[in-house]
Amino acid sequence: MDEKELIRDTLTGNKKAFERLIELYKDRAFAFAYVRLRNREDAMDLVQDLFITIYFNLKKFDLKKNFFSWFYKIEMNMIKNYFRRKKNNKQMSYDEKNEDFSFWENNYLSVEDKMILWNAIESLKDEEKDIIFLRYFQNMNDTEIAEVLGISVENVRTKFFRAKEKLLNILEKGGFDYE
Amino acid sequence: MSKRIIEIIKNEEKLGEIRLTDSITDKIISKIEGIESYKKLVLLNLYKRIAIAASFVLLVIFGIVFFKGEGSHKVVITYPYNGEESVELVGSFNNWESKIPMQLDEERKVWKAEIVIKKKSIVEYQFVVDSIIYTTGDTIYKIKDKNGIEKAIISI
Repeated sequence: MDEKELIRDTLTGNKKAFERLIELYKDRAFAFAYVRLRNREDAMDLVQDLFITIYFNLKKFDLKKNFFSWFYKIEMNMIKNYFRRKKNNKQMSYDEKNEDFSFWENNYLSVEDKMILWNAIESLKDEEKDIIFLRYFQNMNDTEIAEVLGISVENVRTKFFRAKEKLLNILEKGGFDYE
Repeated sequence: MSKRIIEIIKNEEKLGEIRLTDSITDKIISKIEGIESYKKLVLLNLYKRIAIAASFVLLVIFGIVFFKGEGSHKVVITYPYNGEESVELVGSFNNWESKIPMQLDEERKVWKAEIVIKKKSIVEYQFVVDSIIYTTGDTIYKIKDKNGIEKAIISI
């Protein structure tokens, strides 16, 4: 059963269909939230609220359009609201800095490498973070990223190139942005 | 830092999977059900309030219609036909404000008009014959006002 069928079934009141939709999207929703929030507990809470919002607004979704793109926009708005509430998005607690990244499945990177990489990603601008996330974690191509972000493919290519260069520059300096 | 990271970024390889290891599906469904129950409750309360308000309004309308009907009666006033062109009725039942045209019952040879009279009230009236003559006709019950003008009376 594809996601559109799951959406249709959910709209008829089938909670099992929505459970499957959650299972399909929870990892990327969490990953996206974590990339921006850098706080595991808050990211998990946000994902829960996100799915609740999705459920109660599902009837507004146009089935002809890309679901992930719609989903992503709602998540982005929720992330913005989160930061509006928190005011200072650069603050991290000691525990968050010492995250073990157990949720990040990668057999060839050590925890230290993950930490360096994550810190490097974090020093990017929000839109650059999103593009890096969609490319490196979601394996999306330029067209798919453009659809999700609502920008042109050309724009994605330019922004991705810059973000990648910036990321490499930071990593080559040892994982810290000295700017 | 391992050089592998730089290779991955340069080669645009996938950085692995981020998985939400904690189970959140049941929590989300449970919260949704909670919200739905709450919404139903709010809606139910709203319906109850609307039903109470509607019942009250209906009761008031019923009361007005019922009690109004109880306190007044329709009465037919008659005037014998004697070749008049027209006969109208004027009186205190409408504060002498307008003339009510009477209908001719040709079979019975009588002019008729229906008016509504409040219970226990005394109504004064006159007939206006051919738009000129104000008279009480051959009505039995009549009075004279302070100016000496004769008026027919009726009471229920």
